[in-house]
Amino acid sequence: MKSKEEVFTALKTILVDDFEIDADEITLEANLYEELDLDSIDAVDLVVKLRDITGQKIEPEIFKQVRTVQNVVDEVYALVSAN
Amino acid sequence: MIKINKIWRQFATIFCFSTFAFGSFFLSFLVFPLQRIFVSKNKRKRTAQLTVHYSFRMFIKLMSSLGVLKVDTLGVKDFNDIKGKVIIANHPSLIDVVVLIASIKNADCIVKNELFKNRLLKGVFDATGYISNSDPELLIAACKSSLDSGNNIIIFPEGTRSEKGRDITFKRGAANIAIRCRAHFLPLEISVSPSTLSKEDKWFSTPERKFDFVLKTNEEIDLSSYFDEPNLPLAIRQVTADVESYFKRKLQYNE
Repeated sequence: MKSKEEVFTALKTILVDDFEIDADEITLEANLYEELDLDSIDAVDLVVKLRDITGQKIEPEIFKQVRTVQNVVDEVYALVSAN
Repeated sequence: MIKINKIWRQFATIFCFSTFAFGSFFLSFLVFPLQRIFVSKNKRKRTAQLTVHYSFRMFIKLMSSLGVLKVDTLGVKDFNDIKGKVIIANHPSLIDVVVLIASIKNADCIVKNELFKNRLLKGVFDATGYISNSDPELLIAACKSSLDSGNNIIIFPEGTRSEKGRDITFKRGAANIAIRCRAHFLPLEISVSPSTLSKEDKWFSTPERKFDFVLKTNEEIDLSSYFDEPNLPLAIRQVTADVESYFKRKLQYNE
């Protein structure tokens, strides 16, 4: 994954396929917990899925600060581009 | 006559809840500290849970004998044989958990993290080792070890008391715990009539007549077909939707 767009597309695929979220609702500004109805256990699962597709170890601690789709994209992008 | 009865129940309700507060204080500052001295570490949590179980039984007896309520536990005679189940119930009133803990001897509860800060109850939660919902991974691990040891876990899947006149909506925590810990649901229905001690009522408000608290048990819901589901988040959404509509059907039927 080279660009933030690619990270966003990959994230969107996970959210639609694995978490039954409506593709139209997934915008960069969408709040994961309030608008996309994820809960804290979903967040843990999402970290695991992102780890699988990026091959990067993602610290769950970082993810606790994350609120919006944009935040996730930024975190994942920072990880993949650093390596 | 009706008026005198209401005044009596008003007085009795306030008396009962004062007793509850005093009882929590007494347990936290005298009974549990003594148990820490005299009970060996591996039996301490169990002893504290049994202490709460018997205290709540006494509390319910006190409320019934003063004429505040009448508790009817339909078909709930063999609660002591239940092991390793995730017990789920609707949540119409403040005393639901009190009746459930009074009825079920080996029960762990999941407690909202905010309540661990409640000064009156903190001592009780610390001693009984009731499970906090603050960290999802620790929560699942704690539930797993509780269920594996034969304890049951009480959860109100709504996460808070039901709102009057609104359809119940379930959060996904109960399904998450059951499926990830490979346990089954035991669904209980609670009905409180006339409605009192609900989210909208003040704790000291008194209904027009002595209220009936009915606890009804149902057939276990087998979840084994979901345990090995490769996509757990989807399975959990499915199970949550299914039990939510199961409860809606049951509760409508009761009205």
